[in-house]
Amino acid sequence: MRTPSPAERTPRQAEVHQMPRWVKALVIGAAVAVVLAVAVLVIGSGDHGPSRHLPGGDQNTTQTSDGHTPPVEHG
Amino acid sequence: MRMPPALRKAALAVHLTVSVGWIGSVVSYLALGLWADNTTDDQSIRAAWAAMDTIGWYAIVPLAVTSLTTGLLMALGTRWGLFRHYWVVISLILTVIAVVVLLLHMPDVTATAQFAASASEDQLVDLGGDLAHPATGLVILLIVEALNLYKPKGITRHGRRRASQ
Repeated sequence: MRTPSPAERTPRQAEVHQMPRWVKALVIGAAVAVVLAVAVLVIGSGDHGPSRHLPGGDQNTTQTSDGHTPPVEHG
Repeated sequence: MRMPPALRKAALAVHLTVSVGWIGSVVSYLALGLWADNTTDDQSIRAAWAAMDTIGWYAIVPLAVTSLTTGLLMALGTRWGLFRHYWVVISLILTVIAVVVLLLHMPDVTATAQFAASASEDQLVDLGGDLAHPATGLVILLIVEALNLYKPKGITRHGRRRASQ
């Protein structure tokens, strides 16, 4: 038995072969969450982890060109 | 390759245990993060960060990696497959994102805990807690849990091809 072409499918069959509504809702929700997270990161200049409170801010931004983190100065 | 029933049941038991354990350990981490964020007692903040570092590396990370591994085994060794059903694919994507973000975030937690161990009272109060990452992670884990419990209908294009073969 051959598979019916998209034009030959009944409305019920077409519904079964579409992406489910719950998947679309989840994808839209995830996209909105990502956009919001990116906006927060941009507004907050990228430092969002707990290390933003450490001396020198985010540790990733304190590395020298040779990849080493300079020692924290005391006193 | 399908797993024999006895092995499938054992793998499912391990997968459920570590997955629920992962959620529980994130809740305890979040509680410590809230505690550190709301207290002004320097010793409490120091203790909270030491505990968050320990829970992170010795509970959350092993449980997360084991949950991902056993989830992959369950998908590949049962009729569900890895890419046949939307709920499995979405669970996999969300779990991988959660594990990757966790592994990228934990060195930051360790650095903060080390700093907290010798920080002054003012620095500790400014340090606060860690809320955004565990709260987001918890939401993701609860979505994955709901998908795994309800298994909503929906077969992917790959699943339809496999079914018609």
